[in-house]
Amino acid sequence: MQGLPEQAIPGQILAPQFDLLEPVVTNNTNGDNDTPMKEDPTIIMYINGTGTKLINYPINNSSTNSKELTVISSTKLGKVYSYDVDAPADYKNLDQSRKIQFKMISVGNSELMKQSQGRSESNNILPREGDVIICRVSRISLQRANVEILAVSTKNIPIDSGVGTNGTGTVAVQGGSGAQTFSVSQASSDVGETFRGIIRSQDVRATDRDKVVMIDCFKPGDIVKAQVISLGDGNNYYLTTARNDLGVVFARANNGAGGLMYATDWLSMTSPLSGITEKRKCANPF
Amino acid sequence: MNVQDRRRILGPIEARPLAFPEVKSNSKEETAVVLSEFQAPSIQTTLLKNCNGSCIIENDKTSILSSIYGPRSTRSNLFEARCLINVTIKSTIFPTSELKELGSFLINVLESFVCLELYPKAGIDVFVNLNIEKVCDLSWYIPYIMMSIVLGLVDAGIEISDLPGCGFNDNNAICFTKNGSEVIGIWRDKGDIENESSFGDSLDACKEQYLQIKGLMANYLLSKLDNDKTK
Repeated sequence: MQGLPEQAIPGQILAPQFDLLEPVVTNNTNGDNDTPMKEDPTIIMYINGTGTKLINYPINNSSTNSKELTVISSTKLGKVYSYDVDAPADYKNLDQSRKIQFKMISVGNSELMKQSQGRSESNNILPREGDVIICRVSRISLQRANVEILAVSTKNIPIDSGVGTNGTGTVAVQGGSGAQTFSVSQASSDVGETFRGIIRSQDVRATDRDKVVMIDCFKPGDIVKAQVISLGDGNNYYLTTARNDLGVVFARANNGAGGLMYATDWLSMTSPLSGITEKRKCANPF
Repeated sequence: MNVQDRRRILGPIEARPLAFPEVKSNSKEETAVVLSEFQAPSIQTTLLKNCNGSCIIENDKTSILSSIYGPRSTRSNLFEARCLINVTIKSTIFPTSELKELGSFLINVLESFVCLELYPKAGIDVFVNLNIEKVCDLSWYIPYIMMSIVLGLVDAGIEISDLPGCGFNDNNAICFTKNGSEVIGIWRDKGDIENESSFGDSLDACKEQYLQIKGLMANYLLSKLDNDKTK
C-alpha cells in the first residue's frame, strides 16, 4: 500500500478501489520465543467522496492483453482528505474471514470539508434532498407558497450567485444555459434567476395537515427556513416546513410595510414597535 | 424556437450597442503569418470578481479570457437530471456564424468530461473573449481556448473527470483526453481530409501538443496549490 498524495489535480489517480494493508509485524516479547507474529492482511476499500470519481483505468495497454482496474480519480483541484467510515449501506460482506476497512477519499479546498469529514460538498451549492435552505416567499395561493431559494445551509455561496436579479451579471445574447428550453409564459413570472421552490399546504406543518390556511402561515417577502423533500419538476423544488426548527425566521408587519417582527409563540409574531401581532408558522428560534 | 428574451437586463427594446468609427491605421497591414508551432502562453486564473471562475491565456499576439458562471438555475420547464452547458465566444475578427459553430463544438467537447450528473436542474455558462490579432485561422486558437476553458472550470470548482486539451496541426484542431488515448473532438476549418496518412501524422502532432499543454496546465495548477499553502 502506498500513501495517498497530499494534493490532487483533476484527472489524477489517487488510489485503487481495493488495496491491501500489509500485515503488521509485532514482536511477541512476553514469551521466550522471539519470533514475530503475523496478523492477517487487511483489505482497504476506498469509497469515492466529493471531488472524486470511480473510473476504469486500463493497466495494460497492449490490445491483446488489456485489463481494466477500478480506481479513484480526482475531479477537483485541492487537498486530498481520507477518513475512516462505516461500511456503505449497499455493501454485502461475502467472506466473513476477511478484514475490511473502509476509507472515504475526498478532494477539496475549504474548511467545510474538514468540518464535515469530507462528506459535504465544498463548492456545489445545488440544493439536494434533505438539505435545509433559506428562501424568500414570492407568492402565495390557497394551495401553496412559491419561494425563491437564497442559500443552502453548510454550503458556500458562489461569487456569482444572484446574477441577473440586479442586472449586473453577464447574460449571453441567446439567454445562456437558462434559455435552452425557454418559454414565453415563464418570462414574466419572476425577476430573479435563483432556484425556485414550492411549499405545498400539506407540507407546512406536521399536525392538522389538511386544515392549513396558507395566509396564516406565510406572507410574501417572509424569509423562511425549509427543507428540500424532492428535486421536483423542471420548475420547482418541493420544500417542507413540517418540523419545529423550520418555518418563518424573519418577517415584516403589514405586508412588509411595518417593522421587523419577532416570534412570540409557534403561531404568531409581534412587532415591538407597533405592537402588531400577525399569524405565521414560526421556526423555533432556539 | 423564435422567442425573444424578455428579461429586464437586456434593457429597452430600442437600445442599440454603441458603434465607433473604425480607426484607420497608417501602417500597411502585415500579411497574416502562419504560426504552426505551439507557443507556451502565460496563464492566470481568478481574475474576475463577479464570476465563479476565470482564466486568461496570453501570448504576444493573443489574449483569451474565459469566465465561468454557475452552476445556476435554468429556465427549463422540463426536469433535467444533468446540467446544461452553454458556450458563448466573442470576437471582433471572426464572423459570428463561425463563432457560434465553434461554441456548439465546444459544448460537445465539454459534455464529454464535465461531471454533468452532479449538477441536476442547473446550467453552466462559459463565456470566452478573444482579444487577438489575426495570425491564423480559427482552429489555431482552439488549443488556447480549450486551455482557458478547462482552467476556468477548475478555478470555478466544477468537477471534471480529466484535464483534456487540444492540439493544432495543418488545419486540424483535435481534442484529446485520458493521456491521448481518447479523441473527444475534431475541428477542421476548411477543405476535406485528403488522405489518411497525412491525417495520421497530424493526429500524432496534435497529440504531442496536447501532452505539452496538459503538462503546462498540471504544472500551473500544482504551483497554484503550493502558493495557496504558503499563504
